[in-house]
Amino acid sequence: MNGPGEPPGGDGPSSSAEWGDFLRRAADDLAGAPSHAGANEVFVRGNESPASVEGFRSLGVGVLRNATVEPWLPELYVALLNEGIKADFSVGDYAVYERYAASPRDLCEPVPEIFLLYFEPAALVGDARHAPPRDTAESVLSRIGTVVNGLLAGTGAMIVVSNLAPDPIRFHQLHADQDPGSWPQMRRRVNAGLLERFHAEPRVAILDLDRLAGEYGASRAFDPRMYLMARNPFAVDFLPHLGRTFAGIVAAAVVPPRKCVVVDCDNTLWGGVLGEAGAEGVAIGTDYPGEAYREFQQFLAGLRRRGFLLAINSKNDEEQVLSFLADSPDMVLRPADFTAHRINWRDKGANLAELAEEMNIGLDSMVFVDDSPVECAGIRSAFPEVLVERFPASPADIPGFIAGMRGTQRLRVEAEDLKRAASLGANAERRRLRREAPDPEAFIRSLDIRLEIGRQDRAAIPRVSQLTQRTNQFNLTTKRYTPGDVERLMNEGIVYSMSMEDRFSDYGIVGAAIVTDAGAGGWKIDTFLLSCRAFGRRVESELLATVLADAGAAGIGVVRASYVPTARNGMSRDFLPGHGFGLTERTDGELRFEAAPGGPSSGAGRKLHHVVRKGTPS
Amino acid sequence: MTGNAPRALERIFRSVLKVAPETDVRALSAESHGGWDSIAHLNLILAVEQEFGFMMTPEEATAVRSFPGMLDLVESRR
Repeated sequence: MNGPGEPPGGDGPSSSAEWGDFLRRAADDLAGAPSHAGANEVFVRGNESPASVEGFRSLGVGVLRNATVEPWLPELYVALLNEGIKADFSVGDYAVYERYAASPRDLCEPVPEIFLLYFEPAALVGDARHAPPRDTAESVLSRIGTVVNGLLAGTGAMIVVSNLAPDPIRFHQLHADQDPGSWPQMRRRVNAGLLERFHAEPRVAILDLDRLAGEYGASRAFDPRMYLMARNPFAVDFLPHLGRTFAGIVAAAVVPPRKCVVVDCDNTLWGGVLGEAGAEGVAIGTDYPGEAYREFQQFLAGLRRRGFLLAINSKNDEEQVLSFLADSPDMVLRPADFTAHRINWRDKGANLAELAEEMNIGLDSMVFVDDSPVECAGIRSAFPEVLVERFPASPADIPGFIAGMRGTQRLRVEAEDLKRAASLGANAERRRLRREAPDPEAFIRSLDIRLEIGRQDRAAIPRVSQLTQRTNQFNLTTKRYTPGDVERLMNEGIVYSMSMEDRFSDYGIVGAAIVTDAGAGGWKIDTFLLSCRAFGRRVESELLATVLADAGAAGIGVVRASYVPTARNGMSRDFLPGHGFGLTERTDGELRFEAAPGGPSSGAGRKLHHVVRKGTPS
Repeated sequence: MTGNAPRALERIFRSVLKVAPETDVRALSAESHGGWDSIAHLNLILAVEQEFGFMMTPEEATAVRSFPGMLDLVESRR
């Protein structure tokens, strides 16, 4: 057993930074060598840590269940720590769902940000599994649906619904394989029905226990003896897998996603050292080990299609690498698939910082992949905000690496992600226009930009939430909102979303503004942001002008807005004063501004863009 | 698998049960230790089975209520 080591500060209390260090190390150790005792110890000690611990996001997690879930919590807790989340669990009474759905405060206050709903089929369906009535699947679906809808309506939480796992006591019944009316077949219909019902609901995610148990091996995943003894269906060795999957879903929902994967070349994109072995000598292709590296390239190509940026950071000869990427018949990725590269003999840390700047993203948006433990350790210590994933030394371990690679999971691929991927290809063409345009305005006009500004557009909620999570540079207040938060803000105030198209591509929604306190006493702009994809086109002025025009039309006398400086949003500092807003107050960490809606706004001057409205002000 | 069973078992007990550093773990029993509730008991069983690589019968798992009892059980299965 690997214990988590000494707790910080001996017996006494210790700092948030020491706790952060301790929890991070303990969780990392357990990821490599799972142990139920070790997970228990981390869980027990972690529950004594201060509410706020450096490097971790604290998160309330409510669990509604009809099984003994308590023994899972240590593994869930550790897996969440490995995603940078410190959970505070509240477990509902056995087999109570509807009451909590109707009154979430009965579980705990404040209401959790995440709910995990677990349904044990044996307890949910009971003896009906032996000879299920025809409507069993429908009635199970309807019950789960009612609970989920209740929580959606009564909370702003993300609801993680586990689907129904195979029943360990009913394995190996050949007749059930032939009978659509048998419970095993109905269980499949329930699972398909859950997906059907909730796939379009951004605040619901399915924890696919059916898949998970299948991948792990259902006969190993369950412990029927434990279920009969203690109503705990899972074998202890399965719990870390359950934990990782749950933590992955939670992280994808609440942690700002990474945007870019930066890869090494030798022994990462291909096997061997190009500079020594030459193009003929390195491994890439359809035989082992080249096939394994091709699989990794396919995986990266898939990420790029889903909107991730790819970049190269390699100690190599630039010309040799680029021509190998361009000319090798076995290559999946080509030079154009990489948004930026640093191929030289310099320090990889310095390269990485330059890549971040060139691509207009933060280091905390990057995943760094390298096979060298030395390079990985160097980046980890120089830039703790970069997610470092060490590429396996043996090509045989590549499939496992791909399956477990952190920072690359998305719960849903938004249309916007795909649009970004498509627009990457047009960037070279835009750069040429910019070079050739006589002045910036002429360049903007040449792009033929069309903006659509939506007001209270419910379809935009997931993307607006995503923008608040991801946007760091042009973001006046940097407030992070879940889809549930945005929905609430829309109900209480006004949410504007702006999508952009130019002659080359459709960018999707690139800007958002949120007005709270939209009352007669004056409007307050709570959030105003613009995706870095839309920088340099002056479209932010159109969004602000729209908000001010609406306020003016509603007879509002004053619009208030703030700029909250962060390490990253310096570029938006002059935005408000440059658009007719006057400084009214300077407090610690916030500059407050006001403008009269009818007053002068530098706006866009002569029309640079074509603007249409969607959803008229009420 | 684990060379020194008493010491390994002691570590498991300290990890799963909330035990003050000065407490003599080897004398612990469910009756004498307030933190040894049904969930802690379940966690102890799971952790011991995982660490020593065997499975208890439900009867054994229910009957074992003390450190010495658990040690006997572990040694009888080695």
